[in-house]
Amino acid sequence: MTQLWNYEAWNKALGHHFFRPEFAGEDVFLATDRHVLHEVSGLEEAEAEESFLSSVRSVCGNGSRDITGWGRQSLLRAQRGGPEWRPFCCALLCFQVYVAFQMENVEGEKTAANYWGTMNELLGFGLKSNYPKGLTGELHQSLWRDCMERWANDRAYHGESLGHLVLPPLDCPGHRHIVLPLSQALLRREDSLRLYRFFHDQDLRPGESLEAATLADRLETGKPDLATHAKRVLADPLRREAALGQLVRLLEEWDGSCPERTKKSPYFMWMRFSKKRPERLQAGIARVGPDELEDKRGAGLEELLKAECRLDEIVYRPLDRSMRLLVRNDSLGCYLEQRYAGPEQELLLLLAGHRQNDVTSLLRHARIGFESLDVDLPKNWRLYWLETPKKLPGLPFFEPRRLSVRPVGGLKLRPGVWMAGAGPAIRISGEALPRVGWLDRQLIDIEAGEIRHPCLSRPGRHQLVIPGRGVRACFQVEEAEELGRFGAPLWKPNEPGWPAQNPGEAEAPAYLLGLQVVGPWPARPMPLPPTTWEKAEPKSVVSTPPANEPAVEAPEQKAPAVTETSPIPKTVDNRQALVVRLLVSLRRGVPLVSTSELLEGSRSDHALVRTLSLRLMGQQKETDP
Amino acid sequence: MNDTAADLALYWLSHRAEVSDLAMRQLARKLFPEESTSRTYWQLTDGLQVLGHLEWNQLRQRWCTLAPYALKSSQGEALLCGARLPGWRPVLEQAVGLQLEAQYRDRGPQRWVTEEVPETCGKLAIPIFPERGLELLKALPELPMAVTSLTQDTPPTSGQWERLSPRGSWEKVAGLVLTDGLYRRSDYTHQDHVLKVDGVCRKARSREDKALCWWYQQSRQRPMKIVYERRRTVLLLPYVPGGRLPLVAERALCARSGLLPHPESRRYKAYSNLDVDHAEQLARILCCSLEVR
Repeated sequence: MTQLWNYEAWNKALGHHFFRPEFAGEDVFLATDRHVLHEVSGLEEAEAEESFLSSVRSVCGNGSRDITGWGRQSLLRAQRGGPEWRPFCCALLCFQVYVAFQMENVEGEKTAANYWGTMNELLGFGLKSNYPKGLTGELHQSLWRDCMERWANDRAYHGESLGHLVLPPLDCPGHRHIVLPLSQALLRREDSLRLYRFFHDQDLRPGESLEAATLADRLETGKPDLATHAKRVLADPLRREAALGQLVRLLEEWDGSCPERTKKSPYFMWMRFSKKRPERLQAGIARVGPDELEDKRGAGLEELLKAECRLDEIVYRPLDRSMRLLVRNDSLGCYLEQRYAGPEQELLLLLAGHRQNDVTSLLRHARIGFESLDVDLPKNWRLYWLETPKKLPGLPFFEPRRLSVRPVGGLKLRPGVWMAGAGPAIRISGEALPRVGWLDRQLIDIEAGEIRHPCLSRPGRHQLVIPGRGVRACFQVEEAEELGRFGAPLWKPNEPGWPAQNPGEAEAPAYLLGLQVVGPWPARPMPLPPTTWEKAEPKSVVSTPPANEPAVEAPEQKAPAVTETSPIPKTVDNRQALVVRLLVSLRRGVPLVSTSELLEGSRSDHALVRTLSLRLMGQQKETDP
Repeated sequence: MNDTAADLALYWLSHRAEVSDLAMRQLARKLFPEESTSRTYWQLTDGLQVLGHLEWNQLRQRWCTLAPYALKSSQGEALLCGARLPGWRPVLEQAVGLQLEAQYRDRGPQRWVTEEVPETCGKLAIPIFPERGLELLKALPELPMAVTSLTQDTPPTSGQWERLSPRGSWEKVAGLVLTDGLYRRSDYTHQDHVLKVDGVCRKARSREDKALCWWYQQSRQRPMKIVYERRRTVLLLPYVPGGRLPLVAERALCARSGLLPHPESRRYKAYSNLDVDHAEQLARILCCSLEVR
């Protein structure tokens, strides 16, 4: 259900979105489209659009209590609050720009009729091509010039500490009213269709992330069929950068479809690989979703390198048939196929025979180290690993301006997933480091390309977006919920000395975990009262016996029938009992000894038993054939 | 109470069950990025071992987390040792009244003690065993006997050596004619210590062997005294840099309180909540005199 945001809420949110201290001294455009509404509100795009429109309608649309909303907002221009205050007409003017974003080119229709017609339709006034109710040309100018521009560009008031609003001059050619919102609008909704065609012709891939500068180069060479407004925006040095950012976002959101053209294969190759254990290499194809890999499927390397892999009847098409460039993506926990690599990234290069010499010599010439990896690959293919330097040379598969985003530190539960409480920091490297970004839809400052934020340690999926730079990275943080499989060592007696840790034991039984000393130990006898001896269980020395087994089973140990460690009785009766036990042991092949030995009282109990044992062992040796 | 770095380490180790020594060092570096990795690594592993959460598997050369278990004290409480997960806290709080206590300067994971001791701890089916640290101490031999079980070795024929001094520091010795004492290589080319007693050299390789030799040599070189304070039920062990108790003995002491020792007046390490019997047994094992106050 759509969350209800009233006009004041939207006004405040948009005002703070466009005018903020980070933009001090920079030009600001009120370029409002559905993506901006989504960014500002945190709602889904469609929900955000619906909520925004209904809030504007409540002020000046059909059915609003006061259709003089336009004028009311204008009259409030004289009010000025503190640094957090924004003009009350801010959201209305953003709406005007949003109308420009929604405009469609209709052949033969005048721009003014088109613009006001679209606005009337959005405000619920039907298909009328004149001013909407309550708005006049004078009021329109007043809102833009007297109210907004004066506030934003008033040096005396806040010294342009929130950015500088760029409006066309008063003597600007064209329609003097419509030119104001049109000057703020970037690429329109209608342009997206033409751009999808351009992406298709340029053999770009749905979900592909490219640097704005790279897309600009392709625009220069590709000459797309764009509308006049889009051409004007891209030619305008002030609006070009923001429009290119819009283009990057459009490519990421593209699903590969385009009218009159076959759908582009949306699949990328992924690999999971560790240099320590190359035999565990895994590979496959997947679609790059907004947050994670979708439709992930494993495949054999032969199938992938021959480009014979398919999913849902759509064939995987590699970006380059004789070369696969896979960039390590820590947030996805694998290497992912890309067209270009940025600085300070780990790469896997799969090269077909004829490309091996070319690429490796280029790398050598650029003094970039690489390793050839010994992996079982189809004939003529080789795998290389390398890490790109901070300053990238101009090689065809490098994109020097690309920002690389790497999570660093933190405790990983598994590839691509960090443990709650110990999340990663994010390191951004590349040219022209961004100063701000959006982390979980909150604007954050980025200092020296590093982000350390407490929210990265909280459970959940965290998204970092750097607008206009093609950066949209996700980081999954989870509570540790699963225990590992335990097979801990145990402590064993080490006659006659100190217990030792698992001497000679490859695997300890599950119920003998931890600090548990077992077996005939210690050499030093345990003094116990004679009365308890008859009932006394064979004594094992247990300190902290943890176990997976139930408590009743864990402490039980197989005690030897007669051992040196058994407590020695001091009364004659008990000595006789010992004789009985020794006799019992005879049945197991131990020869009989004289009971007179037992009755000697001069030696200590411990020494006596030791003597007995030695005697027994000696006699056994004599009797053995 | 918020989780400390040591708690996070234990959660992570519980999830992994076993890790290599390198991974353990990396863990220390990640959790304490601004401190010396070597020091934090030793503190972390020592604290977790002493409190019965972790073991070093000599054969596999890996750190292994112990399966979860609880020790039932004579006061009727259960001390949770071994592996643990953060999600267990609410379960145990609700089922058996879990109480948390921080370790001295957060050097180890928090002490988890439950008021009630049912057959198993809550729904988690953690097995419960009686705490038998004192029995273990009684069973341990005195140090002179314990060191005889160390492997005999030939006297060193090369290298630079350092000798353990009565102050606990290591002092270089000239030449290779070594008198009785505890030695280590000054160039750290290998980590074995050599204990020479009555002309016989013995090799100390593991942490436990080295601790045995260290205390044995110290008790031979100078009179050592441990103190037991009846009023506070605290055992005070003389603090000498580098002097770690053998793990078996220290774990037997800490199993009673579930707390790591804390320094007291720079001269002692204090083990709390112990009986005089513990002190007597430790004095016997270490061949020290015992003062009961």
